[in-house]
Amino acid sequence: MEFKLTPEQKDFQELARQFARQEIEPIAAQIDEDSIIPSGLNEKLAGAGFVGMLIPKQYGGTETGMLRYVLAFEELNYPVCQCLEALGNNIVGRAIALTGNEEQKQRYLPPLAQGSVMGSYAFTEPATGSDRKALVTTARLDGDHWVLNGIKRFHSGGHLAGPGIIFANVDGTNTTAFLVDKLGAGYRSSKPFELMMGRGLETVDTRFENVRVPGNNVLGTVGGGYEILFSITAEGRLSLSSIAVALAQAAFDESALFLKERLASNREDASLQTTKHVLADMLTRIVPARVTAYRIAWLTDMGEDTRMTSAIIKLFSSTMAREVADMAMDIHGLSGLVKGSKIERIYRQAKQFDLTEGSSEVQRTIVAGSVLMQ
Amino acid sequence: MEFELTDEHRMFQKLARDFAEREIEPVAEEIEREGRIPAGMLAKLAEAGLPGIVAPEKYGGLEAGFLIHILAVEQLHYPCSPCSWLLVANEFADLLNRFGTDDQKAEFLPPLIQGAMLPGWPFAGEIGEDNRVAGNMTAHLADGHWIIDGKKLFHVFGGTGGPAIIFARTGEDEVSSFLVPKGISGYTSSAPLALLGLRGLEIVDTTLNVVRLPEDSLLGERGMGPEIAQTLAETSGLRQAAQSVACAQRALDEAVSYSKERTRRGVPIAAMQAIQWLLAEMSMRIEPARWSTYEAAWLKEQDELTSTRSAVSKLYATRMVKEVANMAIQVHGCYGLTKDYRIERIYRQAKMFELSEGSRKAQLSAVADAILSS
Repeated sequence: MEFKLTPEQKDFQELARQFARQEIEPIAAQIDEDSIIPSGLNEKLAGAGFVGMLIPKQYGGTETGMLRYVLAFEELNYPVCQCLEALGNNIVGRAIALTGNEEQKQRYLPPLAQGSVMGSYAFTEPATGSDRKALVTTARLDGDHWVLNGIKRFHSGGHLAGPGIIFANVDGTNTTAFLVDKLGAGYRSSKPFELMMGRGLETVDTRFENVRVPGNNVLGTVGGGYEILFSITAEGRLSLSSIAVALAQAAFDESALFLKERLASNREDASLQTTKHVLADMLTRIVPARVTAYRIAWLTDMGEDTRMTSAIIKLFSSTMAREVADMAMDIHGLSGLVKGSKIERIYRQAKQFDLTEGSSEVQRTIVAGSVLMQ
Repeated sequence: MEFELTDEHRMFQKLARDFAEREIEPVAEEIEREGRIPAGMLAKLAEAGLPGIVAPEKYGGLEAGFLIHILAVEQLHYPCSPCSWLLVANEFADLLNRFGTDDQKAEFLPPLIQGAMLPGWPFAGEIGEDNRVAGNMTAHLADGHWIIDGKKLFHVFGGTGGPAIIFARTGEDEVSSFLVPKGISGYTSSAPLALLGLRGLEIVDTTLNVVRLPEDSLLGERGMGPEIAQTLAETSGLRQAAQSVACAQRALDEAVSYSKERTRRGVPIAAMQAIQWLLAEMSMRIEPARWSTYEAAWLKEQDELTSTRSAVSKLYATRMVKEVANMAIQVHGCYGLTKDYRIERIYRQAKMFELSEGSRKAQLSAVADAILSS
C-alpha cells in the first residue's frame, strides 16, 4: 500500500490546480450567471491535456488513467463552476476506446481528444429513468443505415456538435448504443433547462425524427448497450464523486477563511464552540470521501469491476457534499444567502449530486443488490 | 498511489482473522456475560505473534509496522469482543520506540511480546489535552525518588500486571509521564467497572498513594507528558477507528443474514426496499471509514501522521459505527432488543468508541483549533 502521490501524479494535480486558479476561478461567478464560456477555454483545457485523459495516445489522447483523471478533475472543479463541458470527452472517449471498432476510434477519438467536438451520452427519457424496457427511443435498420426516433431528456451537451452516445432499443428491448453525429438532419435540441445549480454546462432535451445513422455506428453490439451504459455510468459516478469532493473542500475552505477573518476582527461568534465543531466535522467527512474516490479510480485502472464501489462512493460523496455545503452555510450565516458569494453558488450546486447520474435511490438499490448477492 | 494490500499485509490479516474465528468468536458471548476475558487469551495471542507486531526485532518483536497492527485489530475485533484491546501492547511498543530508553525497552518489550504482561492504558476523555492529562495526579522528587500521588479514573488493564502509563504534574505548569509497575506498594485498583458495552474490558479506577519510584521511571524527558499523550492519542485513535470499522462491518453482516432469514408473508424481508436501503446506507458508510483509517495508519508508518489527521479518522469512524449499528438494529426489529441476537451487544458497544480515548467534543475542538491556527 502506498497512499502518496507519485511525482508525476503530483505534477499533474498541480497543473490542474494552477489552471483552475488562473483560468476558471476568475470567471466562475459570471458563468454561473450567463453561461458564456470564454472562447478558447476548451482549447486551453485540451492543450493542457485534460480533455483526452482517458483516450489512448495513438488516437491523440494523453492516456492518464482514471486516478490521474480524478485528481485533475477534482482540482478543475474546485472553483465550483460548470464550465467543463469539454471534459465530458474523457468518458465518451473512454467508452469508444473500450468498445468501439477501429474505424470508430479513428474517426471520433482524435477530435474528442483535441476538444474540437463535444462528446455526450444520453439514456434518460421523459418517461423513464433507468428502466430499459421503458425506453421509447427506437432504432430500426433501413438499408445500410439505422433510423432513430424518440426523445432524450437531460442530455448534457446534447446541443453541441460532436458524437453523442445515444441508447435506443432495437426490436423491442435490445438496448443498443449508437454513435450519433449531433446536430444532423432530424436531430433537434430544446433550449437548455433553467437549473437551480446555475448555468455553464447546459442540459437539453433532444428529439430524434428519423435521424439516419450509418450502419457501422453501433457502439459494441446490437443488444449490448446496457453493458456499455454500466461502464459509462460507473465512471460517471466516480467523476461526479470527485466533483462532490471538490465542492465540499471549497465549502470547507470558504468556511475556514470566513471564521479566520471573524477571529481576526475579534468577532465572538467565530470562537464559539458550536461553530468550531461544525468546521471540524466538515473535515471528518471530506477526508474519507476523497481517499475512497482515489481508491476506486485506482481499482478502475487495475481493471476491477467498480459497479458497486462506484455506487458506494457516489452515494457517500453526494450525501457528504450536500451536508457539508449546508454546514458551510450555517457557518456563514445570513451572508451566505447573498447572490454572488461563492458559498451561495456552492450551496445551490450541492444538491445536484443526489439527483444526477442515477439518483441516490438508484445507487442504494445497486449497493443493496450487491450486498445481498455476496 | 497503490491501494493493494501487500502479501505481508494479507498474511497478518488472515492470521488475525483466523485467530478471531477460532479463539474469540466462540467465547464472545461468554466474555460479555461473565465480564471477563478468559485467562489464556493473551498467551494465545502472543503465540500468534500479534502483540509483537510493532516492537523491534532485537527485543523479539516482528517490527512489521503500524498499518499491520491496524489491520490485525480490525480482524480481531470482528467478533465485537474486547479482546482486540489486548493489542494495545503494540501501541505501547510504539511509545517506547519513540520515547523509551534502551533499559526500558529491554525491561518491558520482551514480556509484553510474550504475553506475560499488559500495559495500563488510559480510557478516559482527557488524553491529548495539554496539561490536563494529569488530572489530579502529582509527582515530586524526594531523595532520588519520585513520589506519586493521585487517582487515575477509567484505567484500562489497570489491575493486571505490567507497566501503567501515568501522567502526573511535576511542576507548576509541567506534566511528565511515568512507567509505574502496577501493584507496586501504594498502588491500588478498584474492582472493574460495569459498563454499557464491551463487558470484559478491564477498566478500573486506580489510586496511587505515596508510590515511590526510581528516578529513571520517567517515560521520555521530564515535562514531555503532553507530547507523549498526544502520540498516544494519535495511535489509539486509529485503533479505535479500526475497531469501529470492524464493529460496523459485523453489524452490517448480521443485518444482511437476518434480512435473508426473516420472512414476512413468506418473503424474506431482504426483498423489501426499505430494508435494502438500510443495507445500502450501512455499506456506503463503512468503506470510506476503512480506507481513511488505513491511510492514516500508513501515514503513521511514514512518520507523517498529525493529530488532526488521526482525529479525522477517529471522529468519522466512531460516529459511523453508531449510525450503522442503529440501522442494523432497525433491520432486526424488536428482536434486536433481545440478547438472542448479536446486534444487541453490538448496539451497546457502538456508543462507547466516541466517548472513550478522547471524547468527540474535545477532539472536534482540537481539530478546529488546528484548522483555524494554520
